[in-house]
Amino acid sequence: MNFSSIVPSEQVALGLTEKDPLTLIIAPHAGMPLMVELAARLALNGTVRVLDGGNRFNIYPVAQAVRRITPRLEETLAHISLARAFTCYQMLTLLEETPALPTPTLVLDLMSTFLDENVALPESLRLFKLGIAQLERLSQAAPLVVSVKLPIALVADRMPLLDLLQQASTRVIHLEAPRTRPAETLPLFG
Amino acid sequence: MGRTLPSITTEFEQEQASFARFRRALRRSDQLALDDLFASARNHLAAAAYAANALPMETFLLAMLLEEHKEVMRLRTLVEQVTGKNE
Repeated sequence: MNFSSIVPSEQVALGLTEKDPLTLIIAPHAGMPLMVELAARLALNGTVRVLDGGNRFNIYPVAQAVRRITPRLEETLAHISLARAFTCYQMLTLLEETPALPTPTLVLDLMSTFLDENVALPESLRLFKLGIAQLERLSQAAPLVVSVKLPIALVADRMPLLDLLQQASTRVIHLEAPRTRPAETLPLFG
Repeated sequence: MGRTLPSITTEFEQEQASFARFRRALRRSDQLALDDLFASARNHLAAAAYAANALPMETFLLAMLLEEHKEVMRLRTLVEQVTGKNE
């Protein structure tokens, strides 16, 4: 069942403790604060795989997130295995070569490499479809969370990629950037 | 391919920026003291990079402590010279 909702990060993290098929998070900055927190919490209980498609996984915030939860920093960080892809071809190969193990997997900024204008749209679409098939394969063995950022207007022609991904996902979560409230002016008198 | 990890200087500046609200809440004289602490830690960025600690702020704090201890030792020597005591 596909559904979209806006939920706080805590609920997403809690939802992943159960067997979840394929969760898609659409958020600014590919939902990095949430994904970092997720990686830290999942690493606390066992191995977690991180496949980074946007060179976004910065270990310092992850270490800080782990340290907030447990004093066992090195041991917990060792539970995180990280692989990065810098082109859509590498991303597809990475997904293909990742074995379907009962280990939660986080895929960060999946669409980033597929938005490369040096790769023609039909080719990008072909690779992306193959990638989605791999995501479905991996999600059958363990929870899989994919994060993407919304394509900007410059690459609006690649929007079908996101539609395909949403169709393949069993759970779609939209997160919005916090809105800055206009500064309240204090009344001078009474 | 680009960097996969921010440089220690970038990380230091981010850590310092994360204390901006704390700094703002301090009185002016304390703000200057805090700036001095960060400036002293900045002198040891090369060592901090080499340490490759997963929590760089720990290294920065130790670097601040190091500079403070150097100052304590310098002042102690100065006091001993002035008072003529040798412990």
